[in-house]
Amino acid sequence: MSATKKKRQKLLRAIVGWLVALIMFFPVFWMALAAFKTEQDAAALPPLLFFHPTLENFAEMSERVGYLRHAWNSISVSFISTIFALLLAAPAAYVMAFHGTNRTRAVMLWMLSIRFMPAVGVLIPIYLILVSVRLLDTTFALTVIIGLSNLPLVVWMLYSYFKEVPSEILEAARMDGARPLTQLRYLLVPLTAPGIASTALLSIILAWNESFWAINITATDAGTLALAIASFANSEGLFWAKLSAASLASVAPILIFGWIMQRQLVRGLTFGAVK
Amino acid sequence: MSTLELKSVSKSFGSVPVVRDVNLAVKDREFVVLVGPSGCGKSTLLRMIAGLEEITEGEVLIDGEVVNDVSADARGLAMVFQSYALYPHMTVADNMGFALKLAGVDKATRAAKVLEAAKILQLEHLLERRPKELSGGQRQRVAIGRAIVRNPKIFLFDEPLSNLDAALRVQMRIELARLHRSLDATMIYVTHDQIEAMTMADRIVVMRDGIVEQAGAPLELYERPVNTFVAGFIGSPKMNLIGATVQAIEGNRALLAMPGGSRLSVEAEMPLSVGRKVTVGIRPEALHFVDEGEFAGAINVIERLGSETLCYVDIGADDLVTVEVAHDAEVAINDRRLLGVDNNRLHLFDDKGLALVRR
Repeated sequence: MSATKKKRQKLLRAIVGWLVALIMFFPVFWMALAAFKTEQDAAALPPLLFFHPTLENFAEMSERVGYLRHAWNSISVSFISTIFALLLAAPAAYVMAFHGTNRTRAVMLWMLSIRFMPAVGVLIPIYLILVSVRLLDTTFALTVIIGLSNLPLVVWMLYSYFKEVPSEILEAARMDGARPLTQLRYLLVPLTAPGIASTALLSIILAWNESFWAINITATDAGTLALAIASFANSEGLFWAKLSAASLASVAPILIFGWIMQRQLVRGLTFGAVK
Repeated sequence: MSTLELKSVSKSFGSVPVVRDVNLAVKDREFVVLVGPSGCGKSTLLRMIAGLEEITEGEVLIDGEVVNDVSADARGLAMVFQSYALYPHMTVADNMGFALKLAGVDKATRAAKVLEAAKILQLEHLLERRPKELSGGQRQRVAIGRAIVRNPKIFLFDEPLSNLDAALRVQMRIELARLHRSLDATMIYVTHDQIEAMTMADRIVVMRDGIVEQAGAPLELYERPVNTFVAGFIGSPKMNLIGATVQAIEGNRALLAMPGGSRLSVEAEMPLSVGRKVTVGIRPEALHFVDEGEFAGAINVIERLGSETLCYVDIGADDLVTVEVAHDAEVAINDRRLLGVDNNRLHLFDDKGLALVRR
């Protein structure tokens, strides 16, 4: 194949790639633009690409739905539920990785199958339980439920990272006098830190994006940003600019967080042998 | 003073027995090597002594006390693993001092003990490095250093040299032997390499299929193997084991019919009778080429090792017979030669492979 032909192919591929990426990114981009438009500009036909940007939508949206309170709820629920899940998962993954029996695999699959179950299937029992223990619309209940629903995934990820650690290292530690918790603290956690970080990151993102439980068991007190957008959409109808501002304000923090942490995430997901 | 005693120790994984009824007493300061082919249960036995593996039956005693239910760290033993099992994220000093740190020893004492052990192994200049910055031999030294720091009652080694290249292995073998002498410690060493066993051990324990086949000093095993397995396992090049039948007994001599029509006359001071099937065991160095006799074969392969020459002779048996001759011996492929045997270096085994003892 001649050099020019090769070059042309490369160019073609680049164009197609960019085209697909732009088509996929466009709605987000348009939403971001709309968030800074006045309602009039946002509804204009033909659509406006150039306009006088305004922060009015954000101010109004924030005031009406209590953005800061919801954002704080989102942050605390996603971080605390992640810590909760990690604390429960680490000992479980340790035992399954290093003291497995021939039923360990079945237990792992069972845990994963629970994750596959549609949440709506248990909505009514959980709702009733929360009513009777007076935990409806509390961040505590939301944190526990989201933490537990992410638990199978967290156990699976930690398990696979722990498995990478040669068992002889832990045996050497046992000879040196390290009990299981000491092994976790001094060996497994430092040795699989990139993996644990990416697990935590994934859990935080999942918790942040969680909307089913937020919408169904929380209201004004414990509502997260997911709830805020949902309620905003209902009450505002087709006020595109404000809706866009609300959406942007709720996805922006996690996007920025993910962008900052992406190197850590990639390192963790491609985390190889500890040799 | 540190002694170890195993009383009828057995281990099964599920219904699969891996160690069967092992009895062994290790004396203070003794260097005992457990040797055998892979899967013979030697590593499992060591891990049971270490406390890493539960004991299905029997008792393990350290200094006269039963330790079956004592946890690994409380037994006061230290183990060196085949993969070194160093903590990858810690420096050499931290690796060596980890046990002391967990035991709550203060920093200064810890540093002093680590330095002391490092000096023995010439590791002083590497203390701040991490394991991945070390060569294989250095890592092995660190693993040994980690054991020394703990000042254990007994050192346990699980195939510690098998990940090293041949030259380094020879060097470490010498260092380990020297270390054993200078530390005055009891050591139990597992290997599949009979040369390591022969060169370092005070006593060798040969295992197969979870059973101790024979235990004894290296030369004792070499000169008086109790069965064909030990005979074939100990010694390099291997002992020739040839099936034969007793053809006639004349006075104090027995005539053995060898495969391929050869005949070998041996002193019949063992319980032999005409028609009995036996296995003749002859070490390569106990065989030589002679001018007359009825034990003959053609040279098939010649290996000149420099210090000696090995001739592989086809006598018509299933396997070639190895003969060790002088390094400059004049031999050629396809030469038909007569073989002579040092009669007092000949071993006879019965049809079950057990040694026939001289009367």
